[in-house]
Amino acid sequence: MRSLEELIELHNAWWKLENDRPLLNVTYRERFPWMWLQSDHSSGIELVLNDGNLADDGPLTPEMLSPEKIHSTPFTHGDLFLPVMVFGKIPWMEAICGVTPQVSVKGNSIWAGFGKGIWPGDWWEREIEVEVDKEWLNLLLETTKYCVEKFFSPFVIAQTSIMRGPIDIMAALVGDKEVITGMYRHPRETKRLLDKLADICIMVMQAQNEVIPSFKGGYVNCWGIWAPGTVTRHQEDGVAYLSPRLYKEFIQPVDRKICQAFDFTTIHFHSAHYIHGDAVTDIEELGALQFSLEPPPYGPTLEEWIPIFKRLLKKKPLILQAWYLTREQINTLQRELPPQGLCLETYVQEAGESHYMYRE
Amino acid sequence: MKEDEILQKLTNTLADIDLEGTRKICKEALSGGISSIKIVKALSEGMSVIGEKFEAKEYFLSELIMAGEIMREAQEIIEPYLEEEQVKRRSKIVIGTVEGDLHDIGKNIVISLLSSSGFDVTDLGVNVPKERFVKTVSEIKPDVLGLSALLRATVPEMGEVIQALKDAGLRRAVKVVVGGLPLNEEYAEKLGADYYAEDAWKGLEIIRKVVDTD
Repeated sequence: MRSLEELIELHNAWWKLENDRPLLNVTYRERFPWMWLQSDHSSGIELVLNDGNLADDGPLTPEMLSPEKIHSTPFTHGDLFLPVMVFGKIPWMEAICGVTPQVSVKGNSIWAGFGKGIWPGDWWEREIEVEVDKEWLNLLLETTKYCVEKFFSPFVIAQTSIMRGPIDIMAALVGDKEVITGMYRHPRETKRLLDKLADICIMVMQAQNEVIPSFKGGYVNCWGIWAPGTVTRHQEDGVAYLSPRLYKEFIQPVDRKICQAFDFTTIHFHSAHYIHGDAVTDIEELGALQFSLEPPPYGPTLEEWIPIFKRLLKKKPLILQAWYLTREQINTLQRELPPQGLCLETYVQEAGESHYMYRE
Repeated sequence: MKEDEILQKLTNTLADIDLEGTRKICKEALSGGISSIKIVKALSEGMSVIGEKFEAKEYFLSELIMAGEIMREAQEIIEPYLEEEQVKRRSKIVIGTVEGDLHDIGKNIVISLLSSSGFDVTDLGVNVPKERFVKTVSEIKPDVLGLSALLRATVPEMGEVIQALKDAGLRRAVKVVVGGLPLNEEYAEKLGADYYAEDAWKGLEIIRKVVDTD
C-alpha cells in the first residue's frame, strides 16, 4: 500500500516534471454524476441557505449563507488528495469585487454580471475604483476557517475551486463584449483595470492561504495535488474570445503577476482555450496548466490534442480533466504522452453520456 | 484619390479591424459624393474578408466582435445618406438567449454581424421566457427567430420555444435558427429548428440565405 510520504514525493516530482508515472484519478461510474447538468430543482445547484432551504432564483447576499452549509464533503481518490474546500459555485471573486451573485435554478448555476456588467458604458473615463466587498471577503475567510476547524487533519483544506481571474471579473463589471471593445478602444484603462483586479485576486488568495494550515510542509491545491509551497488556482474563461495577440498583450501580464505572487500556481482553461496554451505556459512562474477537456465542437479532438499536450508538457505540468473517456482513450493518452508532468482525472462510463464523451 | 481606390481602402481598413481608419474613410467617401450603396458594398466586402480570415483561424471571436462594432459605427455615419429603398428592404430578425441561460456574448456577436449587414434586429436579451418569444414573433413578424444557449441544461428550452410557436400557430410564419456550443445539426433537428448555426459567422450566412430565398 502506498504511504502518504510516497504520494507527496510523487506530487513533488510532478511539479518538477520528474515523476516516472502520471498522477491518475479515474472513477468508473455507470451513472452520469454531475448534478449541475440536470435542470430540476431537487437535483439542481443544491446551494443550501442558512435557513435550510435551497437557493431559488434571485440575488444572493452574504447573510443568506453560513459556513456550515457551503463546504464540500471530504473524500479521497486515486493519486490525489480530495480536499475540503469552500463551496466553489459561488462567484466569490466577482462578489468580492462588488457584483451581486444571482442564483439561476434553471441554469443550475450562480452568475455575476449577466454578461452586461454593472458599470456604466463610459466606465473607462470615470476612473471608477473597484471597491472590495468586505462582507463577501469575510464570509469566504470565515467559511475557510470553518473548514479548517471542522476537517483539517486527517483531511486537507484547499483554496476555493472556482476563483475567477482578472478578465472574468472585468467582464462581470463592464460586460463581456465591453472587455474586448475596451482592449481596442481604451487599452490603457483596460490594462489598468485588469492590473487592479489582479492585485485584488492576489490579496484574496493570500488572505485565504493565511487561514489554511500547512500540511507536511506544503499545501494542497483544489485538484488535490500537494506542493512544497503556497498554491493557487485561478481561471480566465473570457480569454476563449481573445486572439493570441490580445491574450499576450492584456492577460498574460496579469496572469504572470498572479503567478509571481505564489509558489505553485495553476491556471484553469477549457478546451476552447487551446490556442492560448503556448502563451500561458511561457509564463515562467506558472506552476501548472489545467484543461477541462470538452469534446468538439468545444475544442480539438483527442487526436488533435495529443501533439498540443506533448508540446506543452515539455514546459509545464498539465492537469487533464475529462468528463468521460473510454478505457481505450485513457490508454491512448497514457501511451502517447510522457508521464512527466501528466495528471489525468476522468470518469469512465462505457455506455456513455454520448454527448460529453470523446467519440472514437 | 479615385472612387475605386477610396472604396478599396475602406474595405481594407475594415478588414484590418482599423476603427479610426474606417470611420475616417467613411466620412471622406460621403463628403466626396460617393453613393451610400457603394459604401455599404465596400464595407460588406470588408466583412467578407473578415469572415474568410475567421474561418481560416487567422481571426478570432475578438476580431469578429470588434468588426461588428466598427460596422455599427460606420452605419451610424452612413444612415442619414441611405436611400429610402435601402431602409425599407431590411429583413427583421428577433433573437434572444433562452430562459435559464445568461450567456449572451455569442448572441451579441451574431447581432453585431446582422446589424452591420443591414438587418433590423430585435434583441430580447438573456433568460427570455418562451412566452416572450411568442409574443414578439406575433407582434414584429420577423423573417427569422434566432435562439441562443451556451448551457447544455438550457438547450431543451429551445425546443420549448419552438413548441410554443407551434401552439400559437406561428411556427410556419418564421424560420428558426438555433446556435450554441452544446448543439449540432442532429440535435437542432430534434429540437424542431429549421437551421443550426455552428458559429456566429455561419449564423450570418444562414440568415442571409434564408432571407434571400424567402
